Amino acid sequence: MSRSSLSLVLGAILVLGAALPASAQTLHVDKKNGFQVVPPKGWTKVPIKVEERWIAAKWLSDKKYDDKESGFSHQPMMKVMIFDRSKIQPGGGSTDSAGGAKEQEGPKVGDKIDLTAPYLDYKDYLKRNFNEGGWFVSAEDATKMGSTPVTMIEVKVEKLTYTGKKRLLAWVFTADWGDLAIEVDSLEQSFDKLRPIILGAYKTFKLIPRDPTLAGEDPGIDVGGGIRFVDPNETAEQRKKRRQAAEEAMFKKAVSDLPSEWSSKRSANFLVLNHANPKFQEKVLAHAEAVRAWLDANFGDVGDDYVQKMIIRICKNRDEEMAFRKGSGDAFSIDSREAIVSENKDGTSQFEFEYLGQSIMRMWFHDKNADLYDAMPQWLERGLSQYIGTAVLKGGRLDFSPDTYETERIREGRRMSKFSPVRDLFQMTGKDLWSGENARYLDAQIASVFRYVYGPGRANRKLSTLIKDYITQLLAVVQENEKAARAEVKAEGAKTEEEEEEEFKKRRKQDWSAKEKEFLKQVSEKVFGGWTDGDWAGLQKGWEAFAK
Amino acid sequence: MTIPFLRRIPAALTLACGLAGTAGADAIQFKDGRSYEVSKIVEGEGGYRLIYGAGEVFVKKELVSLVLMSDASGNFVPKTDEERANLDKGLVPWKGKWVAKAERDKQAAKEADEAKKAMEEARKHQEWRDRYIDETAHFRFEYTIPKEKCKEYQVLMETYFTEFTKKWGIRVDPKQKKLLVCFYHDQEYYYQVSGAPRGAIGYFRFVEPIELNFYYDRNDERLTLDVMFHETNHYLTHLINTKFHYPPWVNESLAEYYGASEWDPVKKKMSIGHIQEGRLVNLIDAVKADEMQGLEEMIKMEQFDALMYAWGWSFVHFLMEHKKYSAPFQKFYLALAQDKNVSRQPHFAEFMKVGGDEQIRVLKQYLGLKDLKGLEKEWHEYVKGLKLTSHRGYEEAAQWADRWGMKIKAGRFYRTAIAEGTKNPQTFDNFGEWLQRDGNPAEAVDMHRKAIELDPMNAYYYLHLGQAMESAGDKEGGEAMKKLALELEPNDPWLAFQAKNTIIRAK
Repeated sequence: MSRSSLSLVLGAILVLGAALPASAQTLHVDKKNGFQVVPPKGWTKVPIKVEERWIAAKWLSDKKYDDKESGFSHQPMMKVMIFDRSKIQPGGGSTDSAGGAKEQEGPKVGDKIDLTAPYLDYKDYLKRNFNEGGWFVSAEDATKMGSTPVTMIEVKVEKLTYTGKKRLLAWVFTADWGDLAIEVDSLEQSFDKLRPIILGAYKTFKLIPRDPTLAGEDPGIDVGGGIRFVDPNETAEQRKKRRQAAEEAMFKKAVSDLPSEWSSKRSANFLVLNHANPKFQEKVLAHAEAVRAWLDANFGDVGDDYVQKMIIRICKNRDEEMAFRKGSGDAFSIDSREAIVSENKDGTSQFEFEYLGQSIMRMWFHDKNADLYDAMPQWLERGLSQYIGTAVLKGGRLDFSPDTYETERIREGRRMSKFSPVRDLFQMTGKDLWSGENARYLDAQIASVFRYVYGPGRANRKLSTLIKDYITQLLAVVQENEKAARAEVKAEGAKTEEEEEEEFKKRRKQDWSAKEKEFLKQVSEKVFGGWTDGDWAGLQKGWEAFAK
Repeated sequence: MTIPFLRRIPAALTLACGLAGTAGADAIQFKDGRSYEVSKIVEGEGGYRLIYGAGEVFVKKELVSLVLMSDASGNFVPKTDEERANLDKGLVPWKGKWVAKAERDKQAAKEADEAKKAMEEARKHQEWRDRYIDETAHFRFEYTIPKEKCKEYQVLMETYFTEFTKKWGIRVDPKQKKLLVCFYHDQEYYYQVSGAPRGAIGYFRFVEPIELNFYYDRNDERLTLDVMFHETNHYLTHLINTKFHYPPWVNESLAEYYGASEWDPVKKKMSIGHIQEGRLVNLIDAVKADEMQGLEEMIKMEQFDALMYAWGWSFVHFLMEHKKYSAPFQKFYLALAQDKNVSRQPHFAEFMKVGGDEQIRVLKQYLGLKDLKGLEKEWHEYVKGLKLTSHRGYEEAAQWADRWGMKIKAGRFYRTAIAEGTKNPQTFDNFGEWLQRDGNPAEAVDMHRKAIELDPMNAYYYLHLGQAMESAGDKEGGEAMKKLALELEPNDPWLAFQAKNTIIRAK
């Protein structure tokens, strides 16, 4: 669109704008952020991430458009973004406990150094968020709607855009307190078809007075990057309180931000936000609680910490999930515990359950024992996550049978002799596992070994507690190494370039891979020190028979 | 548009034009295209003083292409009887002559108006929608850098095209479209418009629409040249056979070999075969750790990381600079894409490739070798004999040594880079920080001042200068520099954090 056509569009609006009454049926009024708009007919409101600070509302088109050039299809999205001028300075809006800004003077426990760089305006937001191809502002025009200054911005997305060339059309309304930008993205090929729909909605956009009472209390969610000062001697009980507060804040905000078509439900360990079939929700919730119960039963004693309750967000389909996931780059929080799944009618739901189970497992271990989570070898993490991920809830119990993919890889791997001795598997680093051409077979082998150990292998006394024993010893090694590191006297430092080079050579030999190997060796010696060759042969034979 | 020459508005002059007295009307444009609005600019000895609330920024005239000063003082103070007499007659000084005040005001207003228009024109062309578009014999240039700077690259790239196609015997299809070259005025804008992923500092797109993208690095033009030579080489070798995909050890390594080329803008000549010092630093690292790269293993690799770029470059450099191997290697290079006896296999889309074993067979055939073991040994010995020769290599080596905790070596390399004449402000800033850590804040202050002299608008340099001044005992001066840094870059949280002005919130 040329500058002149933008002006023409605006001319039409200036005439029509005053006469157009807001359509009562779909008028969206946001008193908190000071705007109202009628979204295009049939477009669905998409929830906003709990951690989001810039996007106030978004709607997903009811139609998909095909791009003939790239072969991809695209579902346009309309969103409203808020750029409050009072927040554009670094750390803006952040205060100390007395409610005022202060200079840094020896941080205390609970303080946070806010290192986020707030978005200055719509263009700055695009620069730091848009990642679907190279883009530039192709047209820009400033005018007024009534007394409100409006900047109309058109953006073309042309280079390295694998999903089709696109165009964004944004109008930025300037209020006395900041900017509000409304934007729609469209395939270049379908832009002309969409333009009347987009403009129809833009015509209805209007600034209204902000109601500060609706902003409510600051939910206290720790969002974006920064440095948080935590008490190094914090007890498990203190951590529990901190996590419970974060959990409550997250839950509260998630529910309050939910579009009216969504429902919410709390269970013992989860808050479910649902836009899918209620039956699917019940299936998801039952599965989640079963996985959580399995983790509590099998690993409940690996740590003392409180495992934070999670949000499970169920979108009605993959498109809605993708639209939900598109948010601002700083919309994240270390306190977040959320898994997003969608109901799909194309037979891919099992992948949703796999993702759900694995997410629950990772967050569970992260909370239960951070040392364990950080030190978990890849074979152990991958084995457990595959074992839990592929579990299916049948008759109220989790069935841990392998999925088709694993069964096929095991068959192929056996035929092509791609497996490693089980004894070696337990000492493999990430590089050993994933860098070679046998990676996918080793991946399947790990899962299969876990199924054996947790299945028929339980009959063997040594195997019945193997994974738990391994974790216990792993934690012991972590503690020993930490103690040794604290006791180590720092070398005085090189005095000459030759000495520096010698130290450099030593450090190079002690890279992460070498350290990982050494760590695995230490743990293995503790766990398998008492094992005989016969024990290993028994495990190898038992697994091979099981995997046939 | 031509980039305006430096318009110097005499200090002893008050502009009676519309700019006078307008807050924020002063502006400065650098030769690299950057421009800034400043509340007040005053001409000083050898440059301009940009007046900020927290202090002044001094910009040398050699960095400036255009300046607008709304409040150049017209209160000329006579020092001699002759000057006093001229003033009494209603005359004022103007470009070395005494002219009537009204005439001077008219001329000054006209010049200011022209300068303003020129600056607006230059700013406008930094938007991709208003980019410049020029065509040369073999390229179509679309760019946002100053026009005169791009002209230098247009001459260079045409020379490169002619010399390369001649040396390598490439016959260009007369129907071959001109290559689209997209050249951006800075790194951020390059990433935004080109869509390149972070870390990819230039790219040649070899499928339709075929194009080349890179940016102008104002602090390190050598890097700009390097990237241009490298990426253009991909295009030139693409012309050998547009349906063939060279393996990385050949493709990236020859591009790196040409990436180190040098250009004499006066004689309009390019020279090849120079040391790719940035890559050599990586090799020094590997050689010291006795981690030599196997030749056959490298040939069979389908992906190349930064270290492999270094090994690949060194191998091609070794071959290209070797009397015996140079000509046969060039024939081998062409043969991979053209020789009917080379076995090729489908790669992706319509592209063909040659497998690792076949590459080795053809390489041995063209170099007249039975196996590659001897060649590998020669290559390794060659690498061990390569030495850093310029400030560019030393500054990269200094950073590398600093990263690996070799403090003494890093200090020596920084000093050598400076002694060898580096003009990279980042090197001075890095060395200043090194000196600070080494407990030498006085010398650190000198280094940071030098960095500022070369790039006076970099807020971090003022921050580091402020920190060094404080360490050297000048608390007040240091604090002023940190405040100036914050004024230059008010929205950078890291800068704010380091300037100890970060807001903390209690949970």
